[in-house]
Amino acid sequence: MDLNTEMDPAGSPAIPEPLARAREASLRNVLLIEDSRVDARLVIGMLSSQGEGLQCTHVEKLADAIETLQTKHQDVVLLDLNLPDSSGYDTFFNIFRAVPKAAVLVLSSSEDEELAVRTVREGAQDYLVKGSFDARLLLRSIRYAFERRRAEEAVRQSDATVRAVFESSLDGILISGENDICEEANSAAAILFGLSRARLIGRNIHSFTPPDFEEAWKRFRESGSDHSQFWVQRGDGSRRLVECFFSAQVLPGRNLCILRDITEQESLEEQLRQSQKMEAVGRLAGGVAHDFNNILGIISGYAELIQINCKDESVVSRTGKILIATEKASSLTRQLLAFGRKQLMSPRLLDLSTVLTGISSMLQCLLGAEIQLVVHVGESLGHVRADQSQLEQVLLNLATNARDAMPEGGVLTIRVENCAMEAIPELPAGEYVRLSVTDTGMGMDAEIQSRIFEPFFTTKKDHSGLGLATVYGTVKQSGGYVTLNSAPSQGTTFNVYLPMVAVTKPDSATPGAVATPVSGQETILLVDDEDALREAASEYLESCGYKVLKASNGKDAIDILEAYQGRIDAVISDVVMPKVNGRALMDHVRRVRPDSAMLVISGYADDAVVRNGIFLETASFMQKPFTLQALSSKIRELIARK
Amino acid sequence: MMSGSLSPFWLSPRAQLTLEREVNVLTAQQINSKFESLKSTGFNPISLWERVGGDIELLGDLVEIFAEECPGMMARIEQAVASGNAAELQKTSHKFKGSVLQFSASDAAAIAADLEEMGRTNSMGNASHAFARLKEQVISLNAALGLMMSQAKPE
Repeated sequence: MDLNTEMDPAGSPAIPEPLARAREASLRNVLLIEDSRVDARLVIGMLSSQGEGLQCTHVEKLADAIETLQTKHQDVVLLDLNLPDSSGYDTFFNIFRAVPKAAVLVLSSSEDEELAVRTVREGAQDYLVKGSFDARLLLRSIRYAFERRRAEEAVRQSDATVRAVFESSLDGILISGENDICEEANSAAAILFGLSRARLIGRNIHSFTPPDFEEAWKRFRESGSDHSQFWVQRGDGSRRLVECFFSAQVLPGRNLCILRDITEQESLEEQLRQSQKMEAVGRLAGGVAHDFNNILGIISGYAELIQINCKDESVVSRTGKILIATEKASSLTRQLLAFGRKQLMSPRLLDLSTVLTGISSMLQCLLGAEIQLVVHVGESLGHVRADQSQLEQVLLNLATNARDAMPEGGVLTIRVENCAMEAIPELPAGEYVRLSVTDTGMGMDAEIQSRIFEPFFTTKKDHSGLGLATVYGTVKQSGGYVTLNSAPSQGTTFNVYLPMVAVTKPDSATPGAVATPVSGQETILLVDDEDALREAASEYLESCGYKVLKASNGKDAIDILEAYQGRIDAVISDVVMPKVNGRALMDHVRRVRPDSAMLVISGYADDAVVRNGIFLETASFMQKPFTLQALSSKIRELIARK
Repeated sequence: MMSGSLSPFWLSPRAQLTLEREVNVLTAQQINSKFESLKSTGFNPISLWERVGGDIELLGDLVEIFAEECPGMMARIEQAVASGNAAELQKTSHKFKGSVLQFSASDAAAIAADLEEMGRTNSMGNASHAFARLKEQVISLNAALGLMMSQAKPE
């Protein structure tokens, strides 16, 4: 046997990594590093007689050994410390440095206790003195060395895995020991508390956690496990809501605390709750508005009829006041619908002063008695093109923000005025109407100002963080821009710039004025399940010269459409009715009397009408309540179009 | 190179183990009587026989290699003693000690250890004397190993 020849021929194909790992599971390869031919032959003979399936590679020099170890995995290394190119502890050190995962078993001619202890302490699995072992002892030592090394490697890998999980966890993890001293803290925990890990580890955990954490900690120490929520005040002043899971004695004397930042989750849940609440309020408002609008329609309809038929000036004047009151009530209904976002939004020419006047009573209610509302309207105020409901919402949101900034009360000043602007990145140069909302509240620092329009950004516990984001979006959608001036303790001013539109006075009926009927001779089918409203509209239209066919539901209307021999020039129909609803009726009209003009009337909001399937491309829509004069004008216009 | 078990392949692992043990026990009894005459204070042939697992071929290889290597090793020790090269004396004595330890030659190993220590401490006053004693032990050891080989061969 040629002992100087490496027993595993060099140049054999490299073992694939997965296979190599699989091989690690069983003892296969032994590297013998020995320059004495006698010793080498003996060891190889011993392995041959006892080592089933072992593949032994023999080299005589340290350099060859390192090269072999770097090219082929060896389960156990049998190492003589005194070699031609290295001696003593250095030999072990160099081998161990080259392949720290190898199981090294030292075979020495020296019974040097100090050297033996040193090598074993630094990673050698055993230290055998030549002449003191036979084949069985050598094999047993090899197997033990292999198993110990494998166990150590398993522990090392387990430690590495645990460490990786610990370090990469998105949840903060604290491990405390004796006297609640923080022994471990991961990066997520450091971020959560806004402190470096160095400022967490080694300190008592109660020195950087809030007082309610200490309460929860006491409960947890008593119960063994617990969970709790608390707010963490970070070093930078921001607050995070944290859910905390405790687990006692995960190791002897060690307690585990997992911290999950649920600020965003809580915020989203709050937004969902708010959204659901708003949805419910919207549905309620829509339902109330329907009935209320019908009632208002009856009141205003009969008031108009009185005005037309009565010659007594004082009665006319008083019914005019009734009409003004119904218009105000109608406006209130619209605001409710806007609040519930149940109206289709459509931009139109607006006078901001009118909008402001219309909503000021609601604003005052919103602000409460502690806050004084001051409104300044500039001279010759220009008009803007915007959705009135949206603008009202903008005002409500800005006022809400101002109110919250003045918990002790104060003054809210709303100013609308014309202004000429030079070009800025966000706006071209031109004429604008500026709406300024100024409070005398606590103001904001620069950092909060920089984020104030971000969706879901809020500095308040119970707010969705959508109010000012909505303001920003709405104003941008209207072609405008919003700016902010604020400083801590010096109040805040929001300036909303909307492009001025050159136009005459925007359209608006003047409630209370005596209506001038728009006459006609055509035949109209009027369908409404609200008897009083139907009668009032019918009487009015008849007084205008129309022939009016009346139906209290869709089915009666269809009967009339089928039976009536003459021409029906227009059909006016409510939407929500028993038996056959407005949609089905209009579909029928399209089929049987395609020449008839169609007008849909409803106390519901516009989108509710659309949801009921009324296609407004072929049928006009009027939302109740409306003046009878407006109704007659609309009918005249539709008939003329046909 | 070796691979696989040397036991008959048709036996179960348990049966193989039993057979090996019985063979070893028998061999040890025979060897005890055969090697008794070779036993001295400085050489334990039974221990050596056990170390090689009763493998006559292995023992033969070891003896042969030792016979080849021994003169060179002894010459290097002698040269180190003669030239007063303490480091070389420590190194060569240490290596020689390892080899004779494997042959259960405790007296030779002890003298080699003395020489190694003399080299390590650079106190080589008695080195020549120690080397002379080592030489005697090696001559005895070689003779004993030759006898052992002849007695260990099957009759």
